[in-house]
Parts: sequence; C-alpha cells; structure tokens
Amino acid sequence: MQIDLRINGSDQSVMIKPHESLREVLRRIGFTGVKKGCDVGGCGACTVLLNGDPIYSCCVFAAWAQGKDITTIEGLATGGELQLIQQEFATRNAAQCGFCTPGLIMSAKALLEKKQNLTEEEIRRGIAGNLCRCTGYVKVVDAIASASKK
Amino acid sequence: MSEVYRFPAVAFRPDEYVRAKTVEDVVSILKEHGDTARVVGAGITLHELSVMGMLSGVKKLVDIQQLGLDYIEVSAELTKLGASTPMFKLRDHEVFKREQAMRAISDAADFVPLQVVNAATIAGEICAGLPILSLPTALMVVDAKIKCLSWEGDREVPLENFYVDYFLTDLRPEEFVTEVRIPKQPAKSASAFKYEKMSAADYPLGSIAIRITLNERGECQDSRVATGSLGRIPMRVKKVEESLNKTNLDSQSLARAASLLSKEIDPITDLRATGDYRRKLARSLFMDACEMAINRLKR
Amino acid sequence: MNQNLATKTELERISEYEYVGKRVTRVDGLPKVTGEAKYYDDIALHGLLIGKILRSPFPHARIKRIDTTKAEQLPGVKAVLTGKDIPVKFTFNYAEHLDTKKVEKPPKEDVASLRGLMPEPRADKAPLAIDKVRFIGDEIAAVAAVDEDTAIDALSLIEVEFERLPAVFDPSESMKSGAPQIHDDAEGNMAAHLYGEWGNIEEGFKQADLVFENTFKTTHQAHACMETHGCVTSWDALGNLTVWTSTQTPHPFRRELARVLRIPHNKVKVLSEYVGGAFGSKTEMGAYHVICAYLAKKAGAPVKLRLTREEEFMASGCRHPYTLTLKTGVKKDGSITARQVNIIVDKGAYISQGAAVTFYCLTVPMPGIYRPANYKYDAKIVYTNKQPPTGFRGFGNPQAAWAIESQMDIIAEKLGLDPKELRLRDASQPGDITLAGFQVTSCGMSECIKKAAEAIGWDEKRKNKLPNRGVGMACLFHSSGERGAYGDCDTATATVKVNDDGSVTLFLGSQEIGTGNSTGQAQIAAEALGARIEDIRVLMGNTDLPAFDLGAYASRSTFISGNAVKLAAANAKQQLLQVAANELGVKEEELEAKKSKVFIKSDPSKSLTFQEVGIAAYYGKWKQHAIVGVGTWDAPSTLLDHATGKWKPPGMAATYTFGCQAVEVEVNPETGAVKVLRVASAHDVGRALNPTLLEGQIEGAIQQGLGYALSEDMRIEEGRTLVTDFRDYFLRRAPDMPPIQPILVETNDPVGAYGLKGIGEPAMVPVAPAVANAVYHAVGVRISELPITREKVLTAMELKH
Repeated sequence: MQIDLRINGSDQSVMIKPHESLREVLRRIGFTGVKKGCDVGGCGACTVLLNGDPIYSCCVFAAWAQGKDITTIEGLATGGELQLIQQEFATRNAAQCGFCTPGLIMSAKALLEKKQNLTEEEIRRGIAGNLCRCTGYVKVVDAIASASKK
Repeated sequence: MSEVYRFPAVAFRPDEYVRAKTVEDVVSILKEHGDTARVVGAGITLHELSVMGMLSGVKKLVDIQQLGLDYIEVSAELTKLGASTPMFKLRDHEVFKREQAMRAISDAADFVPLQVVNAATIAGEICAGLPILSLPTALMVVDAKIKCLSWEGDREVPLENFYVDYFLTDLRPEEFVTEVRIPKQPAKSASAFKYEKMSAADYPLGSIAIRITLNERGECQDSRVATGSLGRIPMRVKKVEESLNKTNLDSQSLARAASLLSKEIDPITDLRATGDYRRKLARSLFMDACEMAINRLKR
Repeated sequence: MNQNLATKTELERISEYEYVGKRVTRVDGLPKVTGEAKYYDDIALHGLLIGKILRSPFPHARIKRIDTTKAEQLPGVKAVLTGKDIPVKFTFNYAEHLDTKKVEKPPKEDVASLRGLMPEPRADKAPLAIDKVRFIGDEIAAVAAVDEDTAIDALSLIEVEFERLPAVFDPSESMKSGAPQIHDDAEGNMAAHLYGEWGNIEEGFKQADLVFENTFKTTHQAHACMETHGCVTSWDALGNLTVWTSTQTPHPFRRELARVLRIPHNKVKVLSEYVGGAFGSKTEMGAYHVICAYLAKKAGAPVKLRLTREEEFMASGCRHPYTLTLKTGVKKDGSITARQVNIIVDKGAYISQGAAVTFYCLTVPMPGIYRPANYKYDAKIVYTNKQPPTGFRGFGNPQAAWAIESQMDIIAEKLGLDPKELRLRDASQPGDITLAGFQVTSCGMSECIKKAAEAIGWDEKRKNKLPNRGVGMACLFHSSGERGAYGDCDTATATVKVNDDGSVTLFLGSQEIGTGNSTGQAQIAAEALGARIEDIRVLMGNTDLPAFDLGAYASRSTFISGNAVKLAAANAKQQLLQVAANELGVKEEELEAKKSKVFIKSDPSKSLTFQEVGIAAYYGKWKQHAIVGVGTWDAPSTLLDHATGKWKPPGMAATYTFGCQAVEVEVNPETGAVKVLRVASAHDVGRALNPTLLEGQIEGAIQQGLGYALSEDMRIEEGRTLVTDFRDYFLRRAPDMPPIQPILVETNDPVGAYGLKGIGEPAMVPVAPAVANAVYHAVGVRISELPITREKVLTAMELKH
C-alpha cells in the first residue's frame, strides 16, 4: 500500500507492506541514522520524534505514522550546522561507540524543547528509554545538562 | 527414533491496514473478520506479540485514529476516557493529580520509558491482557468500567471482571473498546499505586493499587485493593478490602491486611522473581501504598 | 579541544605537552551525532540479499536428514546452504578443513612443566551443523533471499529430521560418567583441563595461621552490545571478498576467514570503521561470517546477515559462568601463604575462547593479586548443551575478583582487620614478581586504595555505620596486553604519512570500538610528529590500510599501538625535518616541529609550515619525496616458558594495571533491594593521555559491573535461553546509575607511550565484589552467588534473624 510520510519537514510517498514498522520503512528509504538495536521496544536506538515527542519507531506501524511530523537524527543538523545538543555530545565524549547516539539525541532534543534548566532527575528519566552500554550515561547527562543551561 | 521437525511459520503478514473512518467501519470489519482482525492502538503490544510469533493468524489491521476517540471528558458524575487517548495525556491531566481518589491513575501513568508513554493508548494498555502493565490495576480501584462495542451492541464491563487469564481478556473477537468510564468517586477518598521494578524502564515485578474511603469518624469505610504483576491477571483482592473496612487503619490493621494479602495472592514465578518473593514483596508494597493513600487523605 | 572540562589540577600541571594529558575532543564524534556513521547494517549495495540462519530447536540431537528443496524453490530465494556445503570446523584462531587429507601431526610433547596450561586448540564447531546440534540456537542451515520476509519464509520450508539425544545442562552433571557425550573426542565432556602449581601449596597451608575455604558462583552475563553481530559480504569477479562487519580484531579476523575460505589474505578486505559496542564478544570469527561469505558466493550477489536481538541473546556469546572454590591460607598479619582455586567452567556447547579466558584468570589475578606465596589451580572447562560463552571485558578476571575480593573481606573480619587495611598490607608493589613470573613495574595499587577509600568516606562510614547502609571495596590486578594469543608477539604497526600539502594521515591497524582509541592515537601522533591534531586524519577499520594490529582486547590498544604510532610519527618527523633542513640550509638537529610548523630551535622566527615542507618534499629536488613513516612495536613481554612452566619477567604483558573501587550501598530491609549510592573508582593509568576518554571507559565499565553485580542474569533453563529481548534482561538505565567518581592515578609506566597504560577492562573487574562487600557491611549478609538479587538478600536477611 502507499502511504505519505512527512519526514524532517519534507513529504514522501512510500510503498509499504501493512506489517512494516516505521523503523523498517525509515531505514529502507535511507534514514539509516534510525538504528536497529533490538527486536522491539526495548533499547531506544530507533527513537524518532513524532509531533515532537520521542517514540520507539520499531513499535508503531509505518501506516499509523501517516499524517504526523516525523523527525529523525538526519533532520537535526541543517546545512552542516550542528544543533547545540549534537555539539555537546560530540565534545563531551557522550558518544562512544555511537550506536545509541542518534536515538539518545532525539530523546534529549525533545526534553530540551519542553523545558529549560532541566534537573538531573528529569534528564535521567527522560532518557530512561534509551539504552547505552558504553558510557554509563555520565557524560550523556552532562551533555544534556549543559545544553539545557544555554 | 527420529522425528521430522516442523519449523514454525509464524510470521506476521496481514494483508491489509484499514483506516476506519467511522465506528461502524470498525464494527463491520470485526464482524466479518473476528479474531483475524486487530484494532491498532499505537501498536506497541501488537509489535511485541508479532515478534514472539503470536500473530500469524492476523490478516486485518484496523486503524482507529480518525474516530475521534482521543479525549478526556470530566464532569461531576463521570470521567470518560476515549480509547485512543495516549498515556501521557492521562499522566498530565490535572484531574488525576487534583482529585486524591484518582491519584493512582496519575501514579500508574507516570512511568518511563517516555517513548512508550508518548504513544501507548489506554485501550491498548487495557486490552493487552498482561498483568505487568500498570494502568489496569490502577483503574480497578476507581471502579472503572470499559465500553466494548460490537455488531451486537454496546456492553459495559467492570474492569475487575475483564481479565480472564494471562493474555486473555473478556473482549470478544468482534468487539473493540471505545471508552473507559470512571464514576464519581466517593468523598473522603484517596488512592495510590506503588510498584517495584528491576530497572527504571522495566515493567513492575510487583504492583499494588489502593483506594481508601473514610467515614465521618475517620475510619476506613470502604476500600479497593488491586494487584498487578503478582498473579496471572491484575485483580481486586476483596478479602483484603473487607479486612481493612471498618478499621481505623492503625498499623495493626494494616499489618493484618498485608498478611492476608500475602496469603490471598497466587503469584507467578518468572525471570524477575519467584512467587515466594512476590508474596513477601506484596506486603511491603501494600504497606507503602496504604501509607501513600493515607497521607493523601489528609489533604 | 575541550579544555574547559579540565580539572583545576590538570590545568595547573606544567604543560610539557601539546596533547598528552589534554581533554582532546574525539576525532570520530561528528558522524556519530549526525547519524552519518555507517555500521554494517547501514551499508547499501546494489542487489543486496538478506541472509537468515535456521537454528536448532533442540539442545542435543543428531541430524539424520535435511531437505531444502522447498526452500530453494520459493521465489526470491537465491541460495540455500547446509553443513555439507561448508566442510570446515573451527574455533578461536584455528580451523580444520574436513575435505582434505589430514596431515598427521607429530604427537605433542607432553611437557610436564606446562601442567595443563596449554591445551591443544579444538576445532569443534562447524559453521553449519554437519552431524549434530549441541545447543538450542546451533546453526543448521542458511538462506539468502531478496528480502527479509522471503528469507524467513524459506527457513520454515526446510525439513530437518532429528534424532533427539539426551542433553545435559549442569557442568557438574556433565562431568559424571554416563552423562551424554557432547563431542566425540571429549571424554567426560572435558573441553580443557588447566591445572598446575607454583610454589608448594602444602607447605603454604602449613604456614598459615588460618585457612578459609569458600565457594562462589557467577552467572551468564550478556554483552548486550547495542549493535548485534553480523556482516555484509560481497565477492567481485576476481574473487576478492569485502566484508563489512563489527569486529574488534579486523586483522586476525581476516586471517581466520581467509584460512577457512582458502584464499590469500590480500583478497579479503575487512571493513569495520564503526563498531556498535563489542566488549569482547567480537574478537573471533563467527559461524555467521563463514555462512555469509558462502551464501554470497553461491548466490552470486552480496549478502547481509544480521543477528536479531533474540539470536544475539541466544547464540552470540556471553560471559563464562564459573563455580570457584577458593581456599586461602593467611597469617595473622594478613599475608597470604597459600591460595588454591578449583574452578568449574560451564563451557556450553563449543570451546570458543573458554580456555583462553580461564588461562587469563589462572595466570594474571589468581597468582598475582595480594601476593600469595604459594598457588595451586585446577580448572575444568566442561561442555554442556547450552550456548557457548566467549570472551567478555575482564576475561576471567571479574570471576576471579568475585571470589578473591569477597573472601578478602571474610578474612579481614576474622582477623579483626579493616578491609582497607588488609588490602593495603597485601597490595602489589613496584618490583614484585608474581608466582607466574610477571614483573610489576609501575604500580599505584596502594595509592588507588587510599584514594578510593577517601573519596567514598571510608573511615567515617566504617566507624559510624548507619542502619542498612554500608561501604565495601575491591581491587584489581589486570594487564595491558597479552602475549601468546596469536603467536610469540603482542604487536602493532602504524603508518604516518605527511601529505604533499602538509596535512597528515594516520593509518591504524588498531581498531576503534567506541573507547576513543583512535583519538588517543591521533594525540600521540600529533605529539610525536609536532603536528596540530586538527591536521591529522585517522583512517582505520580497513585491513587494506598499510598498518596492522592484533586487535582491541586485553586493554592493549593505546598501550601497544600507541607505541607503534609514536615510532611511526617519529620516523615521519625525521623525514620531514630532513627536507626542512635542506630547505632552510641547517642541520636536522637544529630543528623542531610544533603545531604543524618546523622551526629552528635557536631562532623560531625562521620556520616553514608543514605545507611548505610537503611541497618541497614531494615536488622538489631533495632525495626525500613522499613522507611516510612506519612504526612497529612489539611489547617486550614473554611467552610461557616450557622449561620452567612459568614466565620469565616481565611475563605475559609488558605492564600490569591496578585499581580499587569503593562502593556505598543502602539496602531496603523490606524488599531486599540494593541501592548503590556512590562509586569511587581509582585506577593506575600510568599516564592519563586523555582524561575524558579514560573517565568514559571507567563510567561505562561500572554500568556493566553494576549490572553484573545486581541484575544481569541471562537465564537458561533446560538449554533454552529465556531472555529474548531487553525486556527480559535487566540492564542499568540512566535513572539506575549512581554518581561515579573516577580517580586517575599516574605512575608513569616505563614502557607505555608517554607513560600510559590500558583502561578498557580494569574498571569492570572489582564492581561486583565491592557491592557484595558493601551489602555485607550494610546488613550483614554475604551473597556468594551472582547476581545479588532482592530475593537473595531478603532471604539471607530473614535467615539471619
């Protein structure tokens, strides 16, 4: 079936199979920044923003996401200019192997949009749905906290 | 002795994703396709079940986003929650934070991961049939009823009667949930929902919801006690409720009720804990939930 | 550079270096934060097929017949393989071809002095089962199809006739006579038996004032890398193979795969620029690599084979569970006169790195830490019908520490000593030679103990204990590097090229797996060459590069390859200076290079930029043209000596690493839940090359260690791995992590570049016993079996009262 997706501000028509998850379809059409870390709903590597809110793209049907604003990691930096949260991640060693990083940044971005001066608890709860096996989350929290103050 | 092994073909391959425009659309699809159709909330549980190979018989997916079932309507006599309401709206709505009797709901809806809270719908949480989900347990203590619609008509089922067994609810194949109704709560009531988790984003390994209603003398007039993750289904424990009623909620009565709870439940053993441990945990959760509810009664 | 993150102390230090010691920003950060970084699953190739593996549903069965006809006929299926298509058996770093006449090897010398430390490699695993399956998940057949759905459908069309065999799951049962035999050539299901004695254990126990004997158990811990195992393979018309994969050891892996495929190494290119986590699970060729290469060959098209998360939990390897019985003799002053350990290793169905891991456990920490005077060891590595574990960060040391460090607190209590005091008395000192023959050179163990204790508030919290709260500590003795895994070497080669415009390319054989390794080495290159780090481009993760390294394991990368880079940079610098000297009309010795400029030391205003020197070199009249410096370094370590049965100093590694972790916990007496309040982790790092990267390693290892301690338990019942996705495997998430204080202790190693040592594994080692010791202090219960669950704590507390 054909569906219309609005990804990073731009409309795309895509042929999909009814059972395909949003994660599968996004990756298939080239958004490989949306990572496949687990089979379903556990790791957050596939996190994208749907109307500004982070969701697990592996847990929703692509067809279900029609009509919503989808933002992937590829939609953050524009014209080579990194967003602040990306810069903070890059300079603070918040990205080690980097596999969880796109999903984490999407969760972080949503948090930062909602509120200024996030507390540590709010940050940790906000990224609880994103698994990282490399950093122990320490510098991830630092990066988000730093971006939150600016 | 050898056997030819049949490798299971359990792939999830529905042939159609239908965007229902009206309630009648859904009713007629379910009438025709019954158990081979599934209504899609956000799809979270469906995806989990599909990966486990449990949805190979499903052929039709029915999207209900255009039915206008995303609402929370509060009136004096009734709070109505549309089936498609995402959990975060439940979490953020002031009625569940303001009204002490309904606090268990905001407790239960305030979980992580946010990625699930942002998408999961209340009907999805209810119909999944898993005792590890928090919302059903909390809804039970506020006397919630769910409305199920099929070609045979509307029916209202008290949530406490909705769960039959692990993964099995009372929902018939041709039915779908349209609304959750929470009646006006008795005065002088407060509720709480308490849980224990292995990690922040995990399902509870045990949870308890409590609602306590006081009489003019400050004694417990009526109560609701519901368990989640402590048995094969989320359920009310009426014997424990009876044990609390007419007491003044002193530490002895609470301890007695907690003991009774331990004995009344039939907790499962799984990867998270043994049944034995859950029995012990139940007491601790119960005491904590009571304390929370009692503190809220003072407001 | 992110110097605004530097601590006051770091800034106050005399700035003798441009980059060493500085918090240089990672050179590979940008592609990761934009989503550009491509891992093997992101590779797009024309005509790419999807591969899938058919896995055994039974823990032990003979394969009588496989019929793949229906699968082959399914439209969209391009290749189907079974065991007969791949007549090979392999194990870590070794393979045997079954279709060639086996050359009779002369019988191996029975060297008594080696006493079971050097078992023969056992090529016990066929990529696709040939006669038997030995665990649920064992590979039976494989398909390549146009898409994933078709591949999955094809699998269920393969007919397999099994003859079920009795299975055994407990290693102590598996060792008994009459137990089902899992491999024809392994009697008593013994995959390997490592045993020996250094010193005189009987004497040692005689000299002891007290003898302690305790048993400890560890569990299956899953690596849980965010990127699952897998690869993309593509053959070209000339028979060259390109493999995109996630690996820690691209060069040895290339050798392993080429050996199996029987093609020259120059025809195999391994690409692994980005690795989504590894932690020891990606240090060997996997069955899936061989299967994928064969599928691609048969299909005549590139194939991607990715393990799902369920397959990852089922069959990609995990930490070896050990049952350790530790018998220790001590004098009243705390000195250890005898240490005897008996280990049963649950090896699962195939040996993989089982012997290597246990070898490390038995030779590094066991005879080393706390300086036992006599030592005896016996480890039985036993096959069971379960998934085969493999190497995992720490490599047998976390298991050793679980036993040793837990027992140290038992000993301390009996002797009436503070656990910190006992450890200080027995701490390794520079100049020690362990019973294995390992020489301790730089060593900051005592300083680490003191600093970790101070950071956690040890003295105060031991003196004025709060209810349900406790502090505990544990130490570590690890190595940087390990000689013998691949031969008589522990080596790397790197190349530094100064291009014609003065920009620099650093070619690494060393692999970046998230640790920041490539950044550290770029720092060393910049420092040694005199270039600005932003002028350096690092190329790695490609075996066609003119560089070589054995891999990112044993905490060796910066230590070993760092020295190679330093030499390569020095070599390139010498060539650079030669040209510059010619250009400036001076002698080389008069010149220095800094910040990509060459200048006369006595008159810095006379300088040339690297660009100017580059042009003069490449296109000018001087003899020196392309500036390419190559550096090779081999650690001055030794192999196990056949004559003596131990090592000559310095031993298996050229340097050893030390540390101490202190943990504060609070136990909930109602639920048994252990909450970790704080962790202080002090490490002897030799020299902190880049504090930010070191902290990152410590913090990440602690997340894994706390999981190992408290909640990570990959349960396998009747051979079935019950964990199928993260919902069933309880990893620490952001809200579950306590504050961590990493403490870097510098001891200036004589061998490491600029004095540095490795850090990758050490912080993983002591976490679990530190937590167990803290729980004992908090509520008086000793948990000896991992993980320290609520239930175990609550039950133990109830038994106590």
